[in-house]
Amino acid sequence: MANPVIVALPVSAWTKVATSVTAGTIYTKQTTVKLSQTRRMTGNAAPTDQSDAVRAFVDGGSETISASAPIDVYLYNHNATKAGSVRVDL
Amino acid sequence: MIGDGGGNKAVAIEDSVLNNTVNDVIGNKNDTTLSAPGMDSLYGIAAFMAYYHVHSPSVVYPRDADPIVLTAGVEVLWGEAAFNRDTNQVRGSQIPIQGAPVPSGTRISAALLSGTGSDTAAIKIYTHEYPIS
Repeated sequence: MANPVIVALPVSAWTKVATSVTAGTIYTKQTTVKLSQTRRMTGNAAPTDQSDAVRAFVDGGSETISASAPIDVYLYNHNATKAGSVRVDL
Repeated sequence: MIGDGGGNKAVAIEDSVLNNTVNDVIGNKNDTTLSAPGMDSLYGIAAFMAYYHVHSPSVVYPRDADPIVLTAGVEVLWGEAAFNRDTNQVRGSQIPIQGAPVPSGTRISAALLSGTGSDTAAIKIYTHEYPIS
C-alpha cells in the first residue's frame, strides 16, 4: 500500500480526496471543522451542492472506503474561515 | 463508511493456494470438486469433511479370518468399552470406540480386562477410512 497522503480542505468547498478507489481509509486531522462526505462513480461530475452530502466522521476519527466499483470521494468543509485536512490511506 | 460496502468482496480464484486475504481462506465455490476435495480453503475443507465422513467405506479387520482372541491383560489404547457375559453368552454386540484418525499402518492393540482374570474375548475391529491420515 502507498504512504498516507494529507489532503487540505479549503473552506466552504467540496474537495476530492480520493480518485477511482474501492478501498481505503480517511482520517480526520481535527475535530473542530465540520465535514460532510459524498461520493461519485469515477468519471462522473463532482458535487456542486449539499443535496446528497452526509455528515462525515460521525462515529469517530475515520471513514472507511469500501466500494464494489471505483468511486471518487469528496469531503465538504462547512467552516467558513478555518481550513481543514484529512489523511487518506489507500 | 463511504461507498456501498462492496470493496474487497471478490472471491478467491478457483483452487487458489494463496493465503494473503480472508477471501483466500474462505475459497471459491468452484474449488476442487467433491470427488477430489481440496484443503486450501474453508470451502474445500468443508467439502472434504462432508464427502468423506459420510461416504467413505467401513472396514472390518480381520475381514475373513477368525476373530482375534484377547486374553486378560491391562492395556487398552484409544478407548475403552465394557460388556457383560453370563455363563452362556456375551451380552455385547458392536461397541464403538471413538478416537482421532490414526496414520495408515498404525498398529492397533487391545487387551481384555476380566473380573476373573482368565476369560477370553474374540473380536473383530470395525473401522472407518479417511483418505488422508
